[in-house]
Amino acid sequence: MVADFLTHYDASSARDHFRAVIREALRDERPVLVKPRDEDAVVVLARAQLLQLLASYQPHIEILSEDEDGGFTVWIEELRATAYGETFALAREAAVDEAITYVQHVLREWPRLKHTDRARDLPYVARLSLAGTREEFRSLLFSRLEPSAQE
Amino acid sequence: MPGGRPTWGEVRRFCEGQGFAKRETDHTFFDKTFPGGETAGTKISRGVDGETLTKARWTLVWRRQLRLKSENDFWRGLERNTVEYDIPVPPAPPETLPDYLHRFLTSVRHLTQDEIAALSKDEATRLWYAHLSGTEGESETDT
Repeated sequence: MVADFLTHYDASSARDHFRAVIREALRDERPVLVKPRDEDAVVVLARAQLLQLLASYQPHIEILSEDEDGGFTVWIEELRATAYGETFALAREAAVDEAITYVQHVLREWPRLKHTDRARDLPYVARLSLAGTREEFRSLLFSRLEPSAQE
Repeated sequence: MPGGRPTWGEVRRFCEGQGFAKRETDHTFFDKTFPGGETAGTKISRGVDGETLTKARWTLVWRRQLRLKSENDFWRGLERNTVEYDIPVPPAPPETLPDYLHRFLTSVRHLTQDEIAALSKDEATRLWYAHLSGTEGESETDT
């Protein structure tokens, strides 16, 4: 460590001081370092704070009208995912389903994908993976297009 | 068929025929990694193989997921012919000469920087080898 900016624990003292670790990460919004023996340190960070840190990683979405077939196709750039629906509402829900599947895929395949161009999309995937509910996932997925994004 | 739109089953057949890695979960993911780490890939849900892709979606699939150079590449690939991908070719890393060779070429052979830049590492090593083995001049007149 360069300096003791953050509180750090070894694995057993983190276990013994679990409440203190959580309190510091949540109440003080300060990451806590836990360093298991012979392993890299892990960081305990409040979910809300991580969402804040990843706030700019809002996926780029395109919504294409299927003029010949009817309906809409949604493209999610950072997931390279497509979804189709006969109405916009159906296309949007299909995009949520598709994005969930892609996030699961990227996280499952990460040991392999981290060596590819997909590595640059990890912050987008990480942000979406923090969603607690489908509604929140939808909101995170389409946040770039929400009115609040323009403010 | 060229000019038309494929079914998801044909997209599956393309990926299988073109050496995409296949990963089965509730869906089938196809991935291909190119030199330099660029990737192409798509996902096919279960039970949709008979469905024809909609027009806009098809364009996204061949261009941005499979990253093909042209739509025709898909139909060529479906027949197991070679296809062209729209993947940037990674630049070859510049071949730099190790310090000892550079030193030899400048201080012993008195080559200019331009002359050194024109030499491959193998050519420089041949000169170095000739110098060390006392055959300098022979190899140059031989070639």
